[in-house]
Amino acid sequence: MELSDSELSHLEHLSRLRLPDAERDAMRRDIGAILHYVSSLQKIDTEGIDLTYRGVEQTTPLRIDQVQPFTDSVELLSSAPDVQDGHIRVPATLQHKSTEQEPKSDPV
Amino acid sequence: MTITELQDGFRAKRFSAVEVMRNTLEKIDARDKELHAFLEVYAESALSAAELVDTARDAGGLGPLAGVPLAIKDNLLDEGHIASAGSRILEKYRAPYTATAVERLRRAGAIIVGRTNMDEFAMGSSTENSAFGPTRNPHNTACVPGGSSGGSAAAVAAGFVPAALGSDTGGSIRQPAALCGVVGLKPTYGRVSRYGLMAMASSLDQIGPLTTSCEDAALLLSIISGTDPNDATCTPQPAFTWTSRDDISGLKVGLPKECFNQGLDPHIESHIRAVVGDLARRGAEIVEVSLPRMADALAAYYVIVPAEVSSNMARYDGVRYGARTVGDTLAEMYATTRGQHLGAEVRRRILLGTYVLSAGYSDAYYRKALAVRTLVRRDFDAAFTKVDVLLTPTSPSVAWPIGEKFADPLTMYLSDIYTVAVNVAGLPAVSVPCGTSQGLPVGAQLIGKAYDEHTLLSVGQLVESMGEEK
Repeated sequence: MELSDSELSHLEHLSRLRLPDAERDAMRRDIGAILHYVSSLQKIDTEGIDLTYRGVEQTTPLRIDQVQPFTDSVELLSSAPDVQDGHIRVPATLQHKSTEQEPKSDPV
Repeated sequence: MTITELQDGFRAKRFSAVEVMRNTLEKIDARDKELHAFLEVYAESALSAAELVDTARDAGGLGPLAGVPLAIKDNLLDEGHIASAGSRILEKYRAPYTATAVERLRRAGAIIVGRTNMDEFAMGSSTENSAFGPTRNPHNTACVPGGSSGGSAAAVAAGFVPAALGSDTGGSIRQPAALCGVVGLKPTYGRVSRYGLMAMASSLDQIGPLTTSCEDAALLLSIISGTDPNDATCTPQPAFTWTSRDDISGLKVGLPKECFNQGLDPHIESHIRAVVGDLARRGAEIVEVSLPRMADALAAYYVIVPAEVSSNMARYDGVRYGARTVGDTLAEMYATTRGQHLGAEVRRRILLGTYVLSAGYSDAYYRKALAVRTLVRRDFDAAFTKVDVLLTPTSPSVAWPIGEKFADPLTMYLSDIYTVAVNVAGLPAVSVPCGTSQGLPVGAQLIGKAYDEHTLLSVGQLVESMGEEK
């Protein structure tokens, strides 16, 4: 069982993670081998069995609904790689292309 | 020296905190270039803290760990210090706050001497996945120390510090403890606040101590456990309290037959059987039990863990902290940052987790694994209607040569066969040294009912004393 190249590309897209080219073949093989191993679970009859989300189930503890002042924003921002005027700066969300690539207007 | 011996020595003024700290730093200086247990040692601040303890000691009122040198795994935040989790992406990241467990150790007077090496983001069983190079086993430097808390285990085994904190998601405290010949305690899920622990698989992660005795493990657990408003998964139960119990007559010790199968090194099996014989002579009743889903627990674990990893690792995107590789667009920046600064095993688990959670596959893999998790819990529930504690090997083999399993992730995963089911069921377990095979330590694992660390550590203490008598 080996992951196909297009399956791997799909996973890379979903995880926002680009693999180094040299690692792709080994990754397809390794993920395939692990999936083959864990597919043994399919043989287990789990009809009607509740799902367990964590080891020790307990109700979520409640706290008083009270505002806790947070004063460390400057310090937290200092960890960000690119900060401007108290904001974190990132590249454009949408790609700007040159004018000839602008969407064509609707012919109708 | 154990923590309790250090405390006695301080009290009797046989040595000062500064003397102990100088000795600690000298030992690290002499041998850690070879072992690489530490990623960073805070020599200067640790010595100043020791001076303060000595000055304050005469006035009294010091905490129970005053002057005790401790180490912490590099995935625990300690304000102002780098916390890299063994990853390039956090190589320069400084923690803006302190983990609750670390804060509680400090408040008790402990001096943190440094941060220890680990598999990147705790993903691994050998500490070879650290971006900063592997740690070596103090008993044989050609071998791995186990992992992922390999640096903490090696630091304790080498006698650098009497104890260190680790984290355990599927055996990451117990397995390196076994491979390095120290005590490693994984408390019940929720016993210790995870606030300030970098999340790997949140439904399984738990902080615990690595020590040279069960008594020290109990002491540290009593200090770090207890409710914390900053972690909603931390149990509202009171902190652990410890009174040792040396009479085990009538105690029922279960041996899960699935843990004594063909994959087990026969030398390890004979050590565990010797422990069984000793416990029986002390009056324990030995009962064979069955955990039929033991092997399935490992498969379920390697679905649940990558699923949670793929979600938890989404935060390492080059935006709020950590390294960033510049890209033309935001999506480009995410993909290159994550591809370049996360290591191979982390990338593998993110992609695998994304697969098992993706449309069309999540029922067959993720939800199936959660149902199997219920079956695993029921196995333990059934076993604990018959016995008080379970005894198994911690690891199917002793420490292996560096590089031996590195190229094959699946073989590495299989080395966790006896430990992962415990996390899947949220139970407490401790690994206690019980001899050596080919000069390398062997660990016995004791598994208890939820919140019953008391029985575990009491039986563990007896296993320790049997080793000393031999």
